[in-house]
Amino acid sequence: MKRLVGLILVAAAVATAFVLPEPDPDPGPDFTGPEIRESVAPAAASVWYCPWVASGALRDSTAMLATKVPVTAELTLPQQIADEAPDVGEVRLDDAGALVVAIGEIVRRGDTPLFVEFDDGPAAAAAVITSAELVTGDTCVARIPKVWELPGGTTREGRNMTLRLFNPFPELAKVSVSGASESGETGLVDLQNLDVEGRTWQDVSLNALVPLLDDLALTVTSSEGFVIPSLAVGGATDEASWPGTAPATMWEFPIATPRPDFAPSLMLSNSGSEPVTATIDVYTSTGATIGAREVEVDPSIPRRVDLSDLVVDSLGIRVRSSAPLAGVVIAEESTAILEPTDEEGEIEEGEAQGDRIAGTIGVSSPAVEWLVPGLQGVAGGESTVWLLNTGADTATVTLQPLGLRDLPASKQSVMPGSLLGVPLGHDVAVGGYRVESSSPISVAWSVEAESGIMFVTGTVVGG
Amino acid sequence: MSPASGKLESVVVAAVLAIDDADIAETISRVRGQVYETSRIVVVGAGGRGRQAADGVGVEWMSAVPQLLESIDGSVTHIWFLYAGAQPRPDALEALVHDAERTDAAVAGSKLVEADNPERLIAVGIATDVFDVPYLGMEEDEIDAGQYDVVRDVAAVAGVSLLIRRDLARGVGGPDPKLPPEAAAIDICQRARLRGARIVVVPSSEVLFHSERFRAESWRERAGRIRAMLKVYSLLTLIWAIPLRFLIGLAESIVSPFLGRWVLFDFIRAWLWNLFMLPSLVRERFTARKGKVFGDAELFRYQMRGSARISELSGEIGGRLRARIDSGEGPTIASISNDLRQPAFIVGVVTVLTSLLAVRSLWSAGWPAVGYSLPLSDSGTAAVDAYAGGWNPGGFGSVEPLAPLIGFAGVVQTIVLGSPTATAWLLSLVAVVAGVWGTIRLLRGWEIEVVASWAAGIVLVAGPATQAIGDRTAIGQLLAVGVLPWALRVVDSRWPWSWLRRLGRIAAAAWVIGLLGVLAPPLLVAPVAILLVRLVLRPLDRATWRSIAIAVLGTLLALPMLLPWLTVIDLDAYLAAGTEYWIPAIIPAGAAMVAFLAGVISSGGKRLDAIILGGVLIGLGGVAARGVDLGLGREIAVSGLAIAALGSAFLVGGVLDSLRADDIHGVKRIIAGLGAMGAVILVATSIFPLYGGRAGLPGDSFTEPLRFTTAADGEAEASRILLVGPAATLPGESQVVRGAAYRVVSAPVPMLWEAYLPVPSAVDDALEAELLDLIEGQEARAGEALAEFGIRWVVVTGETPLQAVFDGQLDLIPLGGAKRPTFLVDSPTSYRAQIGEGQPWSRIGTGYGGVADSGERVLIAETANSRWGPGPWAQSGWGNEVSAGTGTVEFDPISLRRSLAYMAAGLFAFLLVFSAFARRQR
Repeated sequence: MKRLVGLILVAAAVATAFVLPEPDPDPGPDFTGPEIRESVAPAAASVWYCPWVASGALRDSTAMLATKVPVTAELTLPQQIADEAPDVGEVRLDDAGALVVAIGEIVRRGDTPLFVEFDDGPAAAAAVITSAELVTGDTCVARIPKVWELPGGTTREGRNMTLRLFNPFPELAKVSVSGASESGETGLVDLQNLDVEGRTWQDVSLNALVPLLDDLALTVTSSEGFVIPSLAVGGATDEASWPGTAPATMWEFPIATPRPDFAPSLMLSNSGSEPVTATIDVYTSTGATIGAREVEVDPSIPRRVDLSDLVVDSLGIRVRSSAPLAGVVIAEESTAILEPTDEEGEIEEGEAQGDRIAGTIGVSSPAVEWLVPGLQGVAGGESTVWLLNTGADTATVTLQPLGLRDLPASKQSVMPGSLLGVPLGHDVAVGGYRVESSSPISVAWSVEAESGIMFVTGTVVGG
Repeated sequence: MSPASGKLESVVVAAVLAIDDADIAETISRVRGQVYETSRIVVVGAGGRGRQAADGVGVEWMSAVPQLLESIDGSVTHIWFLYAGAQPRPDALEALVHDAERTDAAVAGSKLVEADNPERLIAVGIATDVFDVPYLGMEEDEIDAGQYDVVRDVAAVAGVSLLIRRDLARGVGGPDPKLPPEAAAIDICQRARLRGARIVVVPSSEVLFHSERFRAESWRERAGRIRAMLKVYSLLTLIWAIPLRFLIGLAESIVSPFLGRWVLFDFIRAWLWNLFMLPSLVRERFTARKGKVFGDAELFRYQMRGSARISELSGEIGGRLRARIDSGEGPTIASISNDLRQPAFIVGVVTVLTSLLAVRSLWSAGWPAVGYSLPLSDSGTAAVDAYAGGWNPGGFGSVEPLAPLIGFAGVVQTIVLGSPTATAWLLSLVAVVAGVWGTIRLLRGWEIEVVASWAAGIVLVAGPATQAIGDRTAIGQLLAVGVLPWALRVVDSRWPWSWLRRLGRIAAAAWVIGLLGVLAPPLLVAPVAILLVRLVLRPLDRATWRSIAIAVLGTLLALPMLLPWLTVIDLDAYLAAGTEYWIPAIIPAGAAMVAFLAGVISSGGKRLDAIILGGVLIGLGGVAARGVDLGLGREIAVSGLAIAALGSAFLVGGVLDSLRADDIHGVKRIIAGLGAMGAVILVATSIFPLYGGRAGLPGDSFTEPLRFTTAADGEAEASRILLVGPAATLPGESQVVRGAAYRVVSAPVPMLWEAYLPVPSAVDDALEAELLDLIEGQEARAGEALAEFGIRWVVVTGETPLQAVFDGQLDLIPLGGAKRPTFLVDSPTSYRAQIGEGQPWSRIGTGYGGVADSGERVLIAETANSRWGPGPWAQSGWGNEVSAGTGTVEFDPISLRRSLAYMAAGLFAFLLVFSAFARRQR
């Protein structure tokens, strides 16, 4: 009897223990690293990284700051030698809303990538380089992904292409750079497992490594740490620079060219494994041509789409693709010279070859509020703001100048499916704009000077 | 009176110490018969009885030695102290005086020989070790063949016959009246030596004495030796001598029962007596060291190296082993069988050696820092204070009560003079020894023989279930496993006849069950629950009913020992917190199943009871250990493992013991053999883990990887560390942000009192919000944000996406040389407590200290609580701000909780003492 009772008890207990299920495994983290925000201006503190900045004997740089709320901005300019203390400047934007900070007033030592920390937001930054021979710049970025796409490069005759890898963080970054050209994947063996010491940067001249490539798109991957890359493409004088970007299925470029003198091209790269079809819609001040071009972008072969034949006046474009693509627009001074330049009525080659070049990244989604740091604040050039309305409604846009004085806002109407360029010139009292729209639009601005031309994308104001 | 020879000028007073019932008359007669006559004979002590005896033989009587010293005039040169019952030979005094004068010795002692057999030596001077434990250096029954007959310097002479110069005796204040005779003799010799006196033994001076009265190992003698030691040595010597003396005494207490002695209570009483006598000790020490000529080195010159007690014990053990080996018997089946049937001694030695081996690594390092096993805090009193209504330092701190284990370990740590490693080692050693020993005692009560019981004990302390406890780093349950069999035995032993002893039994049940509960609260109900299971099997057994009643009473009485923890804890949350799930290894599980089935089929009687009870306990323990789905938390799960471990022990004991059953034949014998194979597999899988040396705990994960913090500027203790990685790689409980685990701990290494996290408060919310901002990319200066929390380092303990988050921060500096990916917070304010910007205060216990400045305020990065002081207190965000005026800031303890904690300790002590007292009564 005792045996039976014992066996029953043990069997019951062991069976109960046996059937009790194992707890579900811990699902683990729902993120893989710092989340990659779009470079929007959040309603909070933010940091903006501006790799392509120089302030020396020949070049001057300005950091363009614009904000919606009173903020303190700290500008940190690391040294190229690791462990050297960076130069730091601090400015206060109380009511001004925008400020143009001359980097040379903080330090003048040539290349000086920087990052700007705002203690509140929304706020945004852009950086501009000017000299007697060039004007270039673009918006600064706030995102720090592990993988960056940099389309639009070229090492063809007459063009210099430089990749800057800026590591603003204390941690050493290990970086690999891969390239894709019209010939397919381009071996960049010297750029594998590249060490970029913390709080320093490295410049890589691509012409020396892979010369005479018409199109070269780069992918920068950090296996350890993070870098903020930037690409600069230039000729004998002017140059264009733009930061890295991320692939997306929709891009809007409010400015591809301001006028026919500058031949626009769209540079697309496909880091995926399958060919991607891209449809290009063209917008001018008079209307849109939907599906003006349809191209296929093969993996590992960047695609240059020449849009010169579509130019009547200024041009904005939208790109829709079946899978994510990275894109950049570049406008190069046109070789088409209408007037003969020599006595025999022929065109001299040297004269015909314009050298001004501009380029910028696109906007992946239109928005109703934008900060445009630097607009109308670049000395020696004429600023124009470009408002692209790809929607179906007329957008009523308020352009609020920000700067040293309280200036009145102006209103513009942008018809649906059209591009509006508003020339603003230069005003020392203005350091940027806040742009508000009744319906989503894309905003960029350009500066044209004798020395060069520059496109800069605006910054969306986030929540 | 005058010297007989007329050549000697010394005048001697004989003082006969009436120390017990010994015959004073015989001693007086012998003194009177000395060829070197004494000037005066005085009987000292023993009150009215002594006076009466003195009157009977016509000599003076004095109540105490100091009175005698007062009465002696300057004409007297020496005092001859004799025990009552000593029988000096006629020339004993002459030899003493002569050789003392000749050698210029201030103290001289006689050779002692056995009164009934004068050829047998008792002592020729005394060597001591540094702990003042005497060592005679003689074989038992050693014959006096003149081998020691040379006058020589010794550490001390026996008080049975001791001649001392009068001036010296008065100078050192005479013998310490609080000491028993032998300790007093050693004490006065040592004090004399500090004053530059020479101490010799004079073998030509023979005194007959009864050896059984010499070196009586009473607790008073033990206490006296400790007191003698404490009086003479410098503080520097005492710093190491006291803990060593304590540990040796403890080791002796553990080993002695295997040699047939029980000295634990003497050991405890000896130390308690000294504690009680501390004020007089301080006075005596001052007197003893005042005017000293020599230091400790002079005392060491005449002492033996090492411990006399350890030498004696090892000699005794060796002697017994030799006796067995040299018995002339070959290893015949019969002799082996005989050993197996009566091997208590060998089992005891093997148990102690195995236990020492099992915890050897803890001696130098304490409990490893891994999981919930963390080192004890540096201060035992701080741990007690924290438990008794003080500040819970887990996470960012809280008023939530710490687990009772912390308070208990703190008390033990305080007793072992604050050493965290010695405390961890001692607790683990005692748990292992007690587990094996307790199982043997328990199963012996169930008529299971000692070898099978020993094997069961090994399975209890190191079997698969206990290994699972070790893997889960549950220190409390690991220690509780050693108490479990005792808790059952004390309620299940034969019910005594006397009421006093019955009350003592209930008291014993209460404190043992209470100890179980203190170590692992869920196990408080284990004895009652186990007995209820047995009741199902034996419902008509009156003894089981009575045992249950005792267990219930004991449990009820034990409940207050868990105060104040029990009154404050949210029991439901406590029992449901954490998840553990036991998946036993296939081989031991299969072996246990085979052993159980074979045992049930082949065994009978009490063995069958043990086997069935073992099987049920394994099953029920398994249910608890796998009951996540039933809402059972970590504490229940690990306690279930302890129950399963006990069940495994019962199973193994019952099955192995079946082998010696005479009533098993035929097929049943084969089945019993199969069962034994299963049991042997369980024992085998238990033995090897013991040799890891950490009592079953895994290796240390944090001490070395976090040691770099001690090399940083300033004190590591002034800051915190943020650990990020999978939860299994973090110490104790952890928190989670978007599925990624993290944990804030103290630098340089988290302590045991931090293992459990309090309920999240505003500070935890604030840190989580910061981490969310970092993950979402809304913050690029993590260092600045973390510094507010007193966090100075971020250490990555394993694969986690948080590492990439910290990689992308502007003010976290990676430390290249660290063993784990590590970031240094680049901020001057990353301190737990500071004044101004970056002037840290040191961490003292759970409080802080720094330079007093009444004009400054101290910011304390601990959960806001108005009991932080000194006031005025102000809340600063989620933290505290208090005055820096006194140079210390601390948490004002909650007085009710403190009172409850002291009451719990008092109750424990009372029950312990009462049960011991009652047990000794007939």
